[in-house]
Amino acid sequence: MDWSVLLAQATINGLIVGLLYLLMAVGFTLVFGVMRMVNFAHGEFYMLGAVSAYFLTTWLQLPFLAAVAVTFFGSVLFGGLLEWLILQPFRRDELNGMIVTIGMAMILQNLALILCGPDPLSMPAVVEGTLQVAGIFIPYSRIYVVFFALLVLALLYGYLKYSRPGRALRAVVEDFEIASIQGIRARIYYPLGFGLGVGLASIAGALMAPLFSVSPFVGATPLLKAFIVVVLGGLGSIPGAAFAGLVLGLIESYASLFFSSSTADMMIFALVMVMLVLRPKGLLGKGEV
Amino acid sequence: MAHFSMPGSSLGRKEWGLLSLLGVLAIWPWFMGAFVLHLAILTSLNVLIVNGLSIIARSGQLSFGHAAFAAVGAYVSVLLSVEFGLPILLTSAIGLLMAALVALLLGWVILRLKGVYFVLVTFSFGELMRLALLDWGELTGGANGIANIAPITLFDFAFDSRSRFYALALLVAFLSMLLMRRLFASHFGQAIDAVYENPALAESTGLSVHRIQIVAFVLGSMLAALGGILQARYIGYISPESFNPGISVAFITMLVIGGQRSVWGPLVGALLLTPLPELFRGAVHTQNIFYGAALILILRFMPGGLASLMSLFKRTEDKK
Amino acid sequence: MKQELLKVQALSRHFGGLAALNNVSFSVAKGEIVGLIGPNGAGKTTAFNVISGTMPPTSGQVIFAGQDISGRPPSQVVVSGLARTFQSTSTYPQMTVAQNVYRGLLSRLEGSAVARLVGRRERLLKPAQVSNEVDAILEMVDLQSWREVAAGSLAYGLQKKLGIAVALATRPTILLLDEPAAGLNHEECNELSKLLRQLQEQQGLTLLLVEHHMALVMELCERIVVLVQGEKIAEGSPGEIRENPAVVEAYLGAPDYAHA
Repeated sequence: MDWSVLLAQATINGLIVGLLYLLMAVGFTLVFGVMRMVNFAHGEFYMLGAVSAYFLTTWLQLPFLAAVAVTFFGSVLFGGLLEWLILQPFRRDELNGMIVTIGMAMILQNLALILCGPDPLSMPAVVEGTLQVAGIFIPYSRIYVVFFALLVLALLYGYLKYSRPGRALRAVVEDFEIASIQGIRARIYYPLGFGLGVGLASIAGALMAPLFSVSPFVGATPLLKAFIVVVLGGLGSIPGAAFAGLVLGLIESYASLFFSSSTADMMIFALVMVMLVLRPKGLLGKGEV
Repeated sequence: MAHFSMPGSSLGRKEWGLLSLLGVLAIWPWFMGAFVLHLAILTSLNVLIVNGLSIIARSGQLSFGHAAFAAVGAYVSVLLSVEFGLPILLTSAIGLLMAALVALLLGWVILRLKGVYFVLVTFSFGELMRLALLDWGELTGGANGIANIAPITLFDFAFDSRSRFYALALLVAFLSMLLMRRLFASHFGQAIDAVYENPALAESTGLSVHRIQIVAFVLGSMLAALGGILQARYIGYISPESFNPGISVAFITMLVIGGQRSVWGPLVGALLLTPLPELFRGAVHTQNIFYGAALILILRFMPGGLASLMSLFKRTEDKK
Repeated sequence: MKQELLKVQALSRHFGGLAALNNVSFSVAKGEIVGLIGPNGAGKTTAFNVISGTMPPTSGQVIFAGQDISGRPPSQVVVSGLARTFQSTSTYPQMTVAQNVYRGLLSRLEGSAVARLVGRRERLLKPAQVSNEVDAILEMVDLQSWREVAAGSLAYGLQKKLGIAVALATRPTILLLDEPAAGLNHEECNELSKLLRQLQEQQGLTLLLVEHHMALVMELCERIVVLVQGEKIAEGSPGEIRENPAVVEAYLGAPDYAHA
């Protein structure tokens, strides 16, 4: 086989998967940055996004994009509500807050199991066919996903950079104490930060739903990926999460050319451990250790 | 410590009452048949393992990779007996030693991390262990695991029935409770508590926080390893999924609901959370929802866990 | 003539670009009471933290009883005989006064794992002597009547005394005190002064204080070292320091100085 084609294909695949990881990780790090909380339920919001997209398109016959949009806003609201109802006493109580999110994850997953059963459901494809360019194959469905993921990211970037609540949110993530001193009512930003963070996870799940199967168990792997990316990029750093998400997607893709997937996974977790020990702040992070 | 009274070192009358009740509860499974015996065995093993987790937690660190050490104990001892036919006592000793070594090396490096960072690194370690067990298939049997593990045979007495094995499991669980009690009434246990309550102060009075946490980590991981060794010989089968991060989370759940800082915590947690899955066989999802809710409610309203209710009944207050 | 017990040599500590301590040198002789003063941000607490091992120096040495202890963790520095108190959170609030002191002497117990973990070979205590030793320490600071009281329910001044008692339980040769007078009223301050003087005379302790309370420093300390913005600007007897123009300038307008 032609190595340059293989490499190019691996690069494309890696970037596509990397985008997904990016969405998961940015949301995850947003929650950590605002609330200093490792959100063990993050994967379950991905799952909720997938399940929601499934039901909205197959039961309510909504067009896919509308389903994604509804899912997003619904998740932001739901997440904000959960934060306000359940997580409030644990703001800034890292360890216990994290265990509470484990409880939330258990509840969410098992609610989904009751509603949908354990068997995977498959969504009808949104788009068929494959684009072929210079020996590289890209299914249109993935292009679709990439396009909308990029759109979401562009909107997120704009929101964080130009809108008042977005800028305040960034300030809170970057330095909570200074933000409070500056009079930013940080308490409003807890539900917003959490809601937005898990909303991003839901969008990732919704966008991926037509590509992979939908079941209450799909949240586990994205959660692990979010962990990895955020550790590599730095807990609390949004650009770090974005950068590391793409890097992880590429690393995995290239590694699969040479190693078995579990070997590659092992190496990555070993890398995570090394990073945590040697450079807990990650490549770009600012969290205190 | 002849003349100096330590907190929690004397048994009040109410504690003796409780112990008698537990004694009855412990004997009851033998009269109730195979299913109850099965639950009792699993509960006993969980008491042992979560006691180990408790030692680590009381030194100030929450390990989300505890099941990985159960895996080390289980796989090392099983492989040694399968490959070399070594007797159970020897393979168990080596399994415990391996777990201690891994805990020592790992702990030396990672215990400098605090809070959530320690959680993430132990969680990663647990996942790494699972992947390694999956990947090194020629050695570990990979995803298929190792089946037909022979039961424990000591001096021609085979623990090959539920009834017999329960005696062993119960004994080990009881000894682990005794160990916890003795440990935290001893000078070293006081040092562990001091390190948790005020690490800066403890360090400044000659209690090396780092080294004490390492010892606690090694001790706790050895208990987990022993649990893994016994579990392998009871169920007769081990696989990477027997010790995955989800199992570590289950141990954490038992510890938190039972009570992180009480000698009774692991017992309460294991008693409550082990049998329920088996009893709620049809409604396992509802039951898991209750667990999740219980976790949240306990952390919110009773952070000391259910065992902290006991201080309402005790005459002498055990402060933790 | 007096034997040098603690020597700080060209000590520097940087945080990123900021030099919290820059090339500081001074020494404390056996049996002396030395004060370390300076306006806020002078680096006094950093100096304390570096000397006691809480953080390593960026450069320079800390030499104690002839040994270089620079960069050693506090638990090992304590073994050599250097102990410190904290400005706040210096007790185990849920433990009784006696239990607090007990925890302070834990690392001295002969044959115990904790002693072995820090390599202690001197000033060991036999386990049978624990109760007597606790009583002896409590007597030193006059806290016997509160022996069975929970530390967290003590009055603030007594809690600070307990903090000193816990440090004394390690039987140090030098005691570093971090703002021992902070938050004390006039009467408590006098008591503190008497206590510290007693510790020097009756227990032969050497003392190094970081303190803002000028009156206490002037009255108690035989020598004073002045830090400003991480550098030593003066050293001498209280009289000398009071008249030193650089010191006066550094403190100009500082209300504490006005009371001295």
